[in-house]
Amino acid sequence: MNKYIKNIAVKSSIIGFITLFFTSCEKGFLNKNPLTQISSPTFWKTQGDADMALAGCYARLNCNTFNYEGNMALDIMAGDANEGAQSLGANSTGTFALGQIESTSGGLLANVYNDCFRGIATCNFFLENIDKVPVTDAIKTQYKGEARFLRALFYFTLTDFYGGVPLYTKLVTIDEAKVKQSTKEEVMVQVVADLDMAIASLANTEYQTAGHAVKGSALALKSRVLLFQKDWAGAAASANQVMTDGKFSLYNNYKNLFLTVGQNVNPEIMFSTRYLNPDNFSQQDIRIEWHAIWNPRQELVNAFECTDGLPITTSPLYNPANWKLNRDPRLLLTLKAFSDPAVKASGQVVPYAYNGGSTTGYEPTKGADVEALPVDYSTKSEQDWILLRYAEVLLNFAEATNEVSGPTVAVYNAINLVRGRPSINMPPIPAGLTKDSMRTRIWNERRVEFGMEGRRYSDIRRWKLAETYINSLVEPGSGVRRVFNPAKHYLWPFPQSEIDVNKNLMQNPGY
Amino acid sequence: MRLQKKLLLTISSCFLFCLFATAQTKKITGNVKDPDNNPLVGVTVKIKGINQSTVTSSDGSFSIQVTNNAKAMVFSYVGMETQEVSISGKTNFLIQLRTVAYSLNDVVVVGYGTQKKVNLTGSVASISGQELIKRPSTNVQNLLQGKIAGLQVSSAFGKPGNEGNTLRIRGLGTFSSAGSDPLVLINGINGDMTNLDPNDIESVSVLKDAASSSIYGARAANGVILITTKKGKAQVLSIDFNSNVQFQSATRLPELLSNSADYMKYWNEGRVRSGQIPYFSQQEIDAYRNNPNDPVRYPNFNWIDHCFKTAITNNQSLNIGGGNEKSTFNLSLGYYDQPGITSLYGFKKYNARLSVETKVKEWLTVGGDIQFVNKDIVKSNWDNDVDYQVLAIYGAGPLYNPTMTLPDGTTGYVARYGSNIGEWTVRNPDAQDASGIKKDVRYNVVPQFYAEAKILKDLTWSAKGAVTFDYTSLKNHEHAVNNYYFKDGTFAHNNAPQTLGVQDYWSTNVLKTFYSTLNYRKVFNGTHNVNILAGYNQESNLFRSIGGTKVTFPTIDLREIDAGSALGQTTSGSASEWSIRSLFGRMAYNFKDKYLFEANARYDGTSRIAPANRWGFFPSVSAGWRLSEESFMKNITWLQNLKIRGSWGQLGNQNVGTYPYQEVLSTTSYPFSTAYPAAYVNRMVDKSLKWETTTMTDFGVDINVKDGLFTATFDWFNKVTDNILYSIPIPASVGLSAPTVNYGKMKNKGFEIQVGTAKQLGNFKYDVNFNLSHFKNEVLRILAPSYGNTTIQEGLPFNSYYMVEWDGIFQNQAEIDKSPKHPFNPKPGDLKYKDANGDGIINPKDRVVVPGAYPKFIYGGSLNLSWKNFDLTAFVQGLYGLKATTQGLSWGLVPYIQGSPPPVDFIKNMWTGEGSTNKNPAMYISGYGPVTGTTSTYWLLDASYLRLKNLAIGYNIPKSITRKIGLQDLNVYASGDNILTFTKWPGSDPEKANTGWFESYPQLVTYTLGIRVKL
Repeated sequence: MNKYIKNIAVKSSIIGFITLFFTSCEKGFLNKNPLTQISSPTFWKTQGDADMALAGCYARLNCNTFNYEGNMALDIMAGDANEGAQSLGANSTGTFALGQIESTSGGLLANVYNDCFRGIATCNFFLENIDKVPVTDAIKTQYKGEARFLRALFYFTLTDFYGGVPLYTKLVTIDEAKVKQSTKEEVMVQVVADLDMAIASLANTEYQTAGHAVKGSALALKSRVLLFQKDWAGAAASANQVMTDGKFSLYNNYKNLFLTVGQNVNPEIMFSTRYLNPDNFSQQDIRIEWHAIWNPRQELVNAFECTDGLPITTSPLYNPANWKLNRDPRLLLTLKAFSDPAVKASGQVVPYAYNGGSTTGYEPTKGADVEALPVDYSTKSEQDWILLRYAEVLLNFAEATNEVSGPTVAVYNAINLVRGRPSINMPPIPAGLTKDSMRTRIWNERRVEFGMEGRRYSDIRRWKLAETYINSLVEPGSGVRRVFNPAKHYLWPFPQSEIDVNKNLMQNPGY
Repeated sequence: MRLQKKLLLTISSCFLFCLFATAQTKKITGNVKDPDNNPLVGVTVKIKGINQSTVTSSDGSFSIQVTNNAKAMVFSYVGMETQEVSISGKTNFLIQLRTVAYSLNDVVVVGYGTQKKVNLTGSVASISGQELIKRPSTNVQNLLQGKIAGLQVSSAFGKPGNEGNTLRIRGLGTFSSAGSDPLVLINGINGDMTNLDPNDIESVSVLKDAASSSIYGARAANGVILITTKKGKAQVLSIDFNSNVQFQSATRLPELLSNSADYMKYWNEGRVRSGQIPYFSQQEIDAYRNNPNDPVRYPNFNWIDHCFKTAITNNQSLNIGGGNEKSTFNLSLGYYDQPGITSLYGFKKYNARLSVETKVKEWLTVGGDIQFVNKDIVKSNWDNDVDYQVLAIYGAGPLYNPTMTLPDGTTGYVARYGSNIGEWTVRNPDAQDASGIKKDVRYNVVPQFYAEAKILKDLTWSAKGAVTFDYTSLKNHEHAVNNYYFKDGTFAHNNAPQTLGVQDYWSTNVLKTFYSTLNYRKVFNGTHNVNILAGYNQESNLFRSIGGTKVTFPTIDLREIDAGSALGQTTSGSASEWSIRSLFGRMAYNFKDKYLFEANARYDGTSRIAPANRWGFFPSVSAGWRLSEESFMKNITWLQNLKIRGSWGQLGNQNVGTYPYQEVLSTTSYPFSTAYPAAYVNRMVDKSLKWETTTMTDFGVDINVKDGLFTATFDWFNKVTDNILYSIPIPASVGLSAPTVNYGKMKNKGFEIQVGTAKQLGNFKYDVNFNLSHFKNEVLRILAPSYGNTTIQEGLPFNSYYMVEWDGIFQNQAEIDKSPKHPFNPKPGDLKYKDANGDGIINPKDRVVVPGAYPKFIYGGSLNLSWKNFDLTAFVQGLYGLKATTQGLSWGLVPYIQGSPPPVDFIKNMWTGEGSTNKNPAMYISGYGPVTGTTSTYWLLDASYLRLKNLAIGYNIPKSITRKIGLQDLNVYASGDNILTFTKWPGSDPEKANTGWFESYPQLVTYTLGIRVKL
């Protein structure tokens, strides 16, 4: 019996040894943490954390709504462009342009909503936590100013398209998000408050070198916000503040303003969505020079004056046989004939290898880098997409001042400065215009100066031009008439999925 | 003569017996033969009652020293009836074993052990390696197709080294990212069965119900497949050599229009019908039509003939096994070389395996096994899930050649006919091939060591440790290739490279497994059979990857990263870990092999779930009753086995993501003046997230009549998966992505039948098997139904087709006028739809649920015949009731999608005027609203098929001849795979129909010539 027990003991100890040898006794065997992501409970400890989180707020700009993709698609809706022949995703705006806008439509209608609220959540997350980080109050104030500037940009963009939206100034839970929308006015109060805080706390310097929002960025946005609210005096005052601060000026090369080569040091850019190879690149050249998504319409071509400052309908310089002759230089810096090849800086002539036809016969040139040709899937573009530039401040000032006090000298000066920019050199606006005719000139100046930059859809809606202009348009090829129903189309519908989840949200009228 | 020999033996043994009668031990010798009087090698000879045994050697003889009180010997051999022989003083024996068609002693591999098949209470299907390799394919997944009721193997394509198989046991287990793939264990270690050489396989068991698989707990929800590899046999040196050559070609390819003049004419027609300007002038068309013998300027190029070819593969496998009473070994080597049936593609596979096992002590066995696999796969650099190479072949137009002479006299690739075809046409297949190649090199090395100790007579302990190394390196090389317009030789494009330059990606995955079990087996009073198992298991996994790309290289021949310029280079790297720790156990009890009971359970803790609820318990219970053992049925002698059984249990699917519960910030970067690291909150998390739980009930019947003359197994199951990972809809205004929570619920209910008959009649032997299974899927709980081309709704099968019903072809304007208003202003010859809601307008509101998302049943059948030295096997497999939609993704089916030529069959059957047909529309082009604009059942095609998967004829060279050349066995065979297919599916292969794409790398018809040699 003893032997028997001994036998078992020997066997068991061998087994025990083998078992121990293999078995991992470490306590943390089942505790595995992500190896490539930051754990949020341990964040907000150092200035480095704060810097990263602030960069995170900016990184939310790298999306359709705030780059060429969404903005050039807006020009389709504005009636300045059409969708390319090969539908490669213009955010569904080709369909929307025909008036087929429904809550279930998706595309840009949903993207703008989602992109902006993602940005807002990121800013709110930052603002809620920044006080935990041991940095000086000065740094905190500056960082908060930048985050609030961004939040203002996101909320303003939302109200521009959807009117009143749910308003949050903190990160919300699912239940807290099931609320009725605030009115547009309530949201605008918050937007202006955010901008005023930003104006008070941000550095009064140029923007482009450091790439962080500065006081001028916030003032420029505020002038746009107030202009859109028809607060003419306020809009003019904010614009004027930028002009007197003198930190920004017009860039002397209109073409390069939109290309990387001109963006390194640039006095005109006041805020932008930034790209930089190799980590942050875009498909801007692929989309413009290859996919040919956005085709400028004849109506936009016709809006450019001749070099004598007269519209093509009256200018003796206009040559119907060659539309390119004697035109405002911005025309060919904005668009080109579909079949025209590219000319590189070296003088080399290269064809564009578009893989879709143009539905209008035109293709954009603004922001398209011909040096990148031939483009393919490996092409990585790094042009910044300009969100605010000094020319807009000048035209905001001109428009607002004209509304307040008519075509004063200051109004003339502002608009003529834009027209006379070196490399453009268009003649001044004729003297002696009435307030109304000056308004018409300013409206057209905005159209051509910001052609294919995605500004016009907002402009024609705030000017209430959309219902007459868009309804006058006929699609080339199909002959279908575009539709803009003033009873509903001045605002977009909330995405149906949002209405489904949040019963308190009231759908916009007509949807 | 024979009698004399026997007599002599008897006399001499008597003499020997007398001589040693007084000794303590005696030596017993003998010979064992098969029914044909051939010596049987490797028969186990066991002395009854004591733990002493030997095996017969290569001439069938054995010799064993036994004590005088030894009473009887037991002879056992696979496929033969076990025979017990009384010793009673004899010392020399001539034993002849009888073959059995069906054995009640058959043992199957189950979780952490083996079990007699007749005593199973769960649903386990098994198949021997011998049966598997009757079909000469090298992918084990493909070999399992159609062989096991309830296991559905769908093959996406016939790509060398990547068949894209999906395996589903008993339907679709879940609709979440946790997936429905079964757990695959190779010798107990989680692994990829495509790594195996089928010749190495001893057996495959498929655990289908909860009773059999709950011992694998949180990973068993989708069923478990256990694969056991061969071990050496004592006293027998066996050397097997298998070699074959295969001729492979595409099963089915669409026949596309290759007459250029017709191609141009129909494209013009289609464009005019769409209100677009024709692409070709009448002169251009006439030039092609009038110059049929000028293939340089006016080709009628058939791209399919040009691109697809017959590939010759070669497959070698060597297996050496043997050993002595203490130690055994098994060594195998395999080589497989498979070129593709299109250019660039190729696959080479090298296999090696060494297993050794030794008895250190009478009570202690230790062993080890090393698996080594190397797979080298090359493919088109445009290869991904979409198979762009095949897409390009189907999409290329007949009116241009692959290359042309350019105006400057050089040769260039053709992009397309002319620049006026301003569409995104597909790339020239040859130019695409010239633009680079993708290489995928994989190594898999699995060393494992184990020990087994008999602590007590009835108590066995075992342990196994293994490390699985998986190493992958991917290299993609691509460069620009200039393409020109055929019409005038002007530059078109540079082939638009997708990943220009060199892309390198290396990853390693290391899985460490350890498990240990204690097993107590005892029979009390010869009636109470008890089997208790308790065990521990732990696994940890670390994945790491690193990658880099460079864009610009000095020449296209330089392909290593260092040769490229730094401009635009990128790097990437990642790592992730998971671990799982488990306790498990089984208690089985049966009374006289008549009443069977079993309970299994596993307690799993996983790193993937938050500490508060990371441990989960997965139990199962089952019972069986062998009616045939009851006294009242004992006199029914023709009924060998009749068993009814039932089981219930719960299983988990812990594959919920690696870190689903942790609150993490996403990292990116934003370029202020330089790229600056950025972090933001991106997703909501549910910290209480846990695994999906599957509850399964199973009832089954097993029948065996007259020694296998008729066998049948029937199973009914109900499988309910709850807590399915679900992204709940949240307001987008939260600004974060929705949390994944346990919410969804789904059911699969169905049955499986497996029937067979086998019999030997003299020299003639037959064996027929057929299996059929059916399941019905039903979504039980979701929050918000989804509606698209498919719909997800409670009460319906997951992703049921949801589309407008097609109702023929508009024959004339009057018919259009009196029909409900159709979208896109159709013309006569366009599709007509049903107005399901009767509101007089055809729109998405007219979508109806259409069955066909899952097959009504899948089936397979095999026939084995042998007569003298000839054998014949045939294997059919198929499914019924599956439909697949091809709308939109149909190069080779939809006319002129990116210039793709229309199928000849369509042209023959298209609408050409009133009354011509009600089945097909008039010639149209891709994107033509009245035909392609509405998601309709016109595009929902029947993907049912019946396929003769394999037909093989073999001949065993008579032993009289093989002996002379020093071989034991020599078998020569010829076989054909996928040689007959019955289906309504047009053009391409019906088997890949589940991918959503019409085009894919075709399945293969394989003709094989091979030999199997036993030395």
